[in-house]
Amino acid sequence: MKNRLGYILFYVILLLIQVVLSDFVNIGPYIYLCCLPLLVLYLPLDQHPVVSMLLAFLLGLTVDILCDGIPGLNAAAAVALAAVRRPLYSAFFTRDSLDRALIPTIQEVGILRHANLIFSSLAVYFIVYICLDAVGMESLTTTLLRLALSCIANLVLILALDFFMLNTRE
Amino acid sequence: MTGRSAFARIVVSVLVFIALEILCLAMITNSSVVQRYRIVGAIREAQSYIWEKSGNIRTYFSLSKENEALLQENESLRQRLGLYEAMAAMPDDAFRDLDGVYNYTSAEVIKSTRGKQHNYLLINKGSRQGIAENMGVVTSNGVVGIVDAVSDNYAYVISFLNTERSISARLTKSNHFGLLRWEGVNPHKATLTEMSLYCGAAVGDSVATSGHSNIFPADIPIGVISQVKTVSGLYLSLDIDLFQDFSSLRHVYVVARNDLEEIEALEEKEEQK
Repeated sequence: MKNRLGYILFYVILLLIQVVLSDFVNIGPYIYLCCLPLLVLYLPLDQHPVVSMLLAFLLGLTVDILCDGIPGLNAAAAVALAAVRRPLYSAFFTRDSLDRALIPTIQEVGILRHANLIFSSLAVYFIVYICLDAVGMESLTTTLLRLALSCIANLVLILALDFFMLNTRE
Repeated sequence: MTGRSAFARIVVSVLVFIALEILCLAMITNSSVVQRYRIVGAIREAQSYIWEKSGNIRTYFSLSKENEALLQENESLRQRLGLYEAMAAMPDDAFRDLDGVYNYTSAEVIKSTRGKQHNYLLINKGSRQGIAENMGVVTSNGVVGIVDAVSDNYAYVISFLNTERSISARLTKSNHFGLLRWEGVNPHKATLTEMSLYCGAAVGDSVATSGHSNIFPADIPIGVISQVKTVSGLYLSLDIDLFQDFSSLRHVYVVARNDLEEIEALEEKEEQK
């Protein structure tokens, strides 16, 4: 994924997967399957945070429109994730790996560290998403259950996708 | 990256983040009724909280003005209290007027006569103290006289004990009024004449000023009826025992109607027609 065309192809595929997940996969009210966090996480690390947030906003809005959701819901969560993306990377990865401006692979950093990053990112994303989606209509228990289940389900999904993309990247 | 550019980068990032989130919220509220209701409600609640707090802050900073206004009000009330206290401390012959129609100036009698047909008094207040001709002189016990001439610091008062003067007086019980005149004999007695046969006057009834003249206020007590006489079968003549003892007269009040000029101008205008 070192060339731009490969990057675009990677995002197009993920967007299509997201559309399929949103429109055709329904596994209950507590789990929202979503690969958009992965799209945001894999934006180039060396670009300005403002650019990352703008790209995340456009990606989120695209998903909202394509998946016939509430416009702005995924966009708001994606922007929030883009805003904290760099600190999250800094928390889990060494500076050396980040300076290369490449997303560290599972093989480079290990599955546990990588899973921590993904889970933390998902937590940020779904906190914003579920809070805006529920806006106080659900009980705290329901909200937390929904948050936990969505994070776990999407962790599995993203790790699987990441593993697949890892092979693609290599 | 220098510290300043890093700071600018953070600030710009935060501003863009806030702007994008606001844009997202706007889109969400415009697309979903439920989200609109809840989010706008939360925003309104936050606004109310901020307004309440800012209102408290404004109130705090306006306390100095409020305090100043209270001080002024307090000063005004203290002045009024002092006035009432001064009036309460007046001697028994002092006179009180709370409605503000009449203005009272205290004075001291420095000379008076009682043994003549045309008695007079001299008081120690004159034009410099606001005394003018045709002002009334009273005490709480009755009418004393009318100012006839003034100098800078003294006034010449024609006493009620003057056979050529009369004042308007009324029965406090029935409000019938007539002319009260001193007969020139007894300084403790006067005569209320031209009273209606049906006024219901009886011995012991009290008499006070009627307030029909521009000189004396109404309801200054004058005396009580000591005798009721019928004159030629047409009207009553009442002998009055005066409250005012002219032999012990010392403190008096010169009374002036505040709106006298206006009344006189009106009367003059009517006379010219």
